Amino acid sequence: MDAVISGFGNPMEQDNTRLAARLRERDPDVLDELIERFQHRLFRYLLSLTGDKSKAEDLFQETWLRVLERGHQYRPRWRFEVWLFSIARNLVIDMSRLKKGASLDQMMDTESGLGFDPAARQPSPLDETLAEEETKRMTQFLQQIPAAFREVLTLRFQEELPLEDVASVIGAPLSTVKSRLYRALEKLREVIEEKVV
Amino acid sequence: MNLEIHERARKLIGVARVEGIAVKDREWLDEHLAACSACSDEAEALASAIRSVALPVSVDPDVVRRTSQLVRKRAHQMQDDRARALPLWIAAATSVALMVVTTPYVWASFVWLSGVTQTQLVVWQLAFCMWWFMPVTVIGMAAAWRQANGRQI
Repeated sequence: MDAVISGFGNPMEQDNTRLAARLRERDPDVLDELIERFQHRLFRYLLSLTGDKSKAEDLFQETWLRVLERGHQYRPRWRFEVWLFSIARNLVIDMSRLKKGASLDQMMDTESGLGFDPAARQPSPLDETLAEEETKRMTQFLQQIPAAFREVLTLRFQEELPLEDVASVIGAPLSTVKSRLYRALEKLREVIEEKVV
Repeated sequence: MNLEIHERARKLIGVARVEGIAVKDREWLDEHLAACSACSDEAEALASAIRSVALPVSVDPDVVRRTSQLVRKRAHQMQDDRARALPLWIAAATSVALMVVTTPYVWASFVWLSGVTQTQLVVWQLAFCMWWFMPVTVIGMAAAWRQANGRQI
């Protein structure tokens, strides 16, 4: 978490100080605001980890309950989304431990064949027609990427988190994050090339 | 162009995406990509792969609404629990404060009582210890009872 420490007295930290105070009070209004603001980012991240829409939805609820319960542990020097993603990740790990034999490490294994189910959305019929083919194609690519690779790809390129924040979320050294990203990109490229050919 | 140059370009394309590259390297890479269609295709393939990560997913509004309701309900429940636990904490604090303040007097009383009743040293010292731990034990039991009944202290 140290990597997400920001400079003392900056506006972000002032906002986070107010946020931390409200989280300590377990103010339901602040939770509503946070859910509204981070819903899509959290869901995408959970989906990238689990590869399953209904699991991601369950974990989505669990994550916000955990935020409520552990709100007093949040520190203003942390970026909220990094803390949020860390909580979500721990819940996914807990869930994996509950399932006999499943773990995040095993989700790394492409042979385990964990699928990827894109979340339901409510597009217009036109959007649906236009996006359907592309989404289908992309989903096929992502189905073949291990969860741990999808995770770093999502955090770095979709959530656009700095590498240090990615390292904080996944609790790994920066060097591991970098090498995992390079391997993930390589894998993604291979998958795309295979599909194109 | 030799193979090493293409290898360098290929490496820089990846590094630029993952961790960023120096301005000097960026200039060199841009120049190379403008001249080399194979490396340029490579860069485009990587860009396309990265774009593919961004699936257009969003949460079902029903899930968001249910989550919000659940969180709100749990927040109120926790606030109620905290309010209910307050008298217990006050009782505990008062009890400990009283114990500390009265300890010398109680000790003296036990000494006097043991003299009057001719009790063995170890017996009245044990009795004193029991007196000391009794409030903590009672409060601990109350707290355990509340937790067993689904209330958080």
